[in-house]
Amino acid sequence: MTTTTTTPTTSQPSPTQVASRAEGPLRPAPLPTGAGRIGWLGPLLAVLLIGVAVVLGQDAWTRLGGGQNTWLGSAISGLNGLAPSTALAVPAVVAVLLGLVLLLTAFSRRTRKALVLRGDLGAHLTTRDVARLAAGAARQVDGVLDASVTATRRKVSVEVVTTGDSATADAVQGDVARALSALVSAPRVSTTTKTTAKEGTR
Amino acid sequence: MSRTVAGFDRLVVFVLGLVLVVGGAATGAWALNLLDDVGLPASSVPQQISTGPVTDAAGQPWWAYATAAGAVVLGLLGLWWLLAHIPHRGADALRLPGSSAAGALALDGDAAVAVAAQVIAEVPGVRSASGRMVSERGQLIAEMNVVADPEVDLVELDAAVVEVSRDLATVLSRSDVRGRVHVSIARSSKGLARVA
Repeated sequence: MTTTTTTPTTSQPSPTQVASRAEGPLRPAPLPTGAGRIGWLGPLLAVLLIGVAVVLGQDAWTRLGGGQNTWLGSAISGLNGLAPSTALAVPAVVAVLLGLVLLLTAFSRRTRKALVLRGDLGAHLTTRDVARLAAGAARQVDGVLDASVTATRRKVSVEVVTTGDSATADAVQGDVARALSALVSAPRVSTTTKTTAKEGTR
Repeated sequence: MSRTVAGFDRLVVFVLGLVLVVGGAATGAWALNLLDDVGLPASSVPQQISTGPVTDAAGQPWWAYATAAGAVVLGLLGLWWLLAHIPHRGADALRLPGSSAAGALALDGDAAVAVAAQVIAEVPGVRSASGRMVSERGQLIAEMNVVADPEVDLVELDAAVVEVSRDLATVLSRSDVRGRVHVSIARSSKGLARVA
């Protein structure tokens, strides 16, 4: 993969040859977006709907078979005689809160976690992978015992446990930034250091 | 998942949320006798729930058929809704330029993308790579998934990916195919414990 595979017959390909073969890499497809909470809420509601159908089906099956004790019947008779009480306010509040969550979910934007590489193809990583990459880079720095990283699309926070060398933090900062330099909009890197626990607990 | 299903999800979640908020607020106000404060005198609202009419209806002979019909309709709707969330994105063989009435030139897109992925897998630091041709909302996409070590050189990987995609574009010779490469990083290095 070091040389191009297409070898034109002349060193200067004619315009028709250029036009006839596909030039350059593939154009990038739109980035995938995470669905967010709506992504699993939809299937969950579908399952709940099937559950409602099962309850109705059990009611029909039992009554057609001559029985009277159905789940639906029990639920209806359980509601009979319900009077205002403070205890009833609890499920009411729960319902309101749940409803608010659903309303927010219905209008929420899809989550975007992808960070794009500089190359023309638009290869991408998620923030989770950026964090792992940054941790991998940080662990390779001299004097780093362990590294944990949290990443968003704008900021990478590196927390390293060091042997105590003061130069380690700068080295980590530089190496992590270098590891992420292939990203189109590289996130800001911030490094915090901790020395080994032995000193901290003394 | 198509746009229709995604839109349907949002609509149902919105309606259900609205019903829960309004119903919950009304129930709460009724339970705490607060309806008086919002202009509904206590005499106009029932002080006790009676499900008598529903129980009467449930005793009618048509009730069982009604619930049976409801069960079938809701069950089918629920099944469709659930199955609609299963992604099916495979693409057929690609028809290549040069096809004519005399004969068709077709290419198994999956195979072409898989070979491209194998080439990417040779890059140092890359553990594995797989590829397939997918159709997403009418758009053909050569999709590759690359798994790399945490120590991978992203610049080198990126250059290799662009190079491979150039070859892939030549092989496919169809300008409408797009490319998408997802790079994921393994959680820990594999057997490369550093001694320092």
